[in-house]
Amino acid sequence: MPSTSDHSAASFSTFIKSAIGPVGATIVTLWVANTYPPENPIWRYLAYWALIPAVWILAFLYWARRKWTGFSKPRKTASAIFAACVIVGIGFGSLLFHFRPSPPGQLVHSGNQSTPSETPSQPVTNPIQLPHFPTPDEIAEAIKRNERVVQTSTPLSPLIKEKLFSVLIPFNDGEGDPIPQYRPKNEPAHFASMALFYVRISQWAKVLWTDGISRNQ
Amino acid sequence: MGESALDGRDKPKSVEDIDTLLQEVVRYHVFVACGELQSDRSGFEWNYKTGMKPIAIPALATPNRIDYPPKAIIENLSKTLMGRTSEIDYWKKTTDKFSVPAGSTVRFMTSKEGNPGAYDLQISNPAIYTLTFTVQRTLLLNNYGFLPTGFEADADTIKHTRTFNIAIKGKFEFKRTTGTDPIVQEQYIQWTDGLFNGLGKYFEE
Repeated sequence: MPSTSDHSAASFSTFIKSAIGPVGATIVTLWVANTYPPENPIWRYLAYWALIPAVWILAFLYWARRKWTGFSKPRKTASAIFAACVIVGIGFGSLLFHFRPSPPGQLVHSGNQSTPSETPSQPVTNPIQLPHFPTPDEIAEAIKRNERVVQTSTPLSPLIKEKLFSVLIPFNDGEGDPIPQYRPKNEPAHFASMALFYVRISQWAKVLWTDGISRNQ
Repeated sequence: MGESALDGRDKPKSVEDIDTLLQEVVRYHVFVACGELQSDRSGFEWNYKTGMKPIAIPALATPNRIDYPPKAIIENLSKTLMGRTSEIDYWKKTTDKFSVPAGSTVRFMTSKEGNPGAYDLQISNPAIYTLTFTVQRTLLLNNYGFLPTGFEADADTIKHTRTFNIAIKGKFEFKRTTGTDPIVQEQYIQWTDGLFNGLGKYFEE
């Protein structure tokens, strides 16, 4: 028959073992809190939504197993709890592995946008970046790259755009100015006006033909 | 009443001479308009309802923009009828710039080099794109006695006036390959659309 001291030692041992889970979870929680903010946002996310809950769930399950084993609960129940612990642990471990940080240069998915993963030396405050607008230097470089590519890559059908304009020009081959006076009711002022255009035709017609230049063309 | 020494040769009389003059002038105006569209512009507009008001129009974005050398413009123009006008002096003295995409050349092509019977203005970088404006007179009817909208003349002048219809065909061709940068392609498309739309407003409004 065990003595009282033996019984006390066994109870103390059971208590220590059952306390390992909560103590471990507390240590992990304090460690995460102490190292906040982590450099990588994915770890920040996992720490708050996966790691801390996971360790506390595991701690509870471990504590429950020790407690029920210690109070001589049916062995089948204890085994089921232990199996649940293992499954949950493997599940969270897989989750952590799946969401591990990507190496620099790969894409990390954030919501509906893909953003380049950052290097550890560059803390990120906003992982979603604005659209990148090319600078003149980048465009110039792209054009040079395009020129090189044109010579080395497979040709595709060219992109073609066409537009047809026309202009009516009345020409007086009798007496007076070659071009009649132009007086539009509503002159659009996009830039040089059509009125000036017609005046210049008149002037050049006189100058060129008075000098007989057309005959030398 | 006798004719003066200049009468009969102070303006082109034959259809061929008038064609030459008008097509050269229209081509030159297409060139000038392209330059102005690629520069910041300010001015005013007016109509009988709202009166006059100032306007400012920002320059059209030219991909990889550079200023085409004035000497090259003068050299080109000198080979055309416009080279015999004061426009050569203008290009020698002006601070205005004619912008093109880097690596481009500007050519005023004769009918021997370009389309037969037409006057071409070509801006191109053969490795990337070719933009050609072909100026050509369309069918000419013996339409003396009528004036287009906006013109005024006395009855005697109208009898000796006929209207020429000058067509300007703009054609842009962008070379594409499997490695073409879509950013560059989009820049050129926007540039071309801007030029076509601007010229459309200039000649047709």
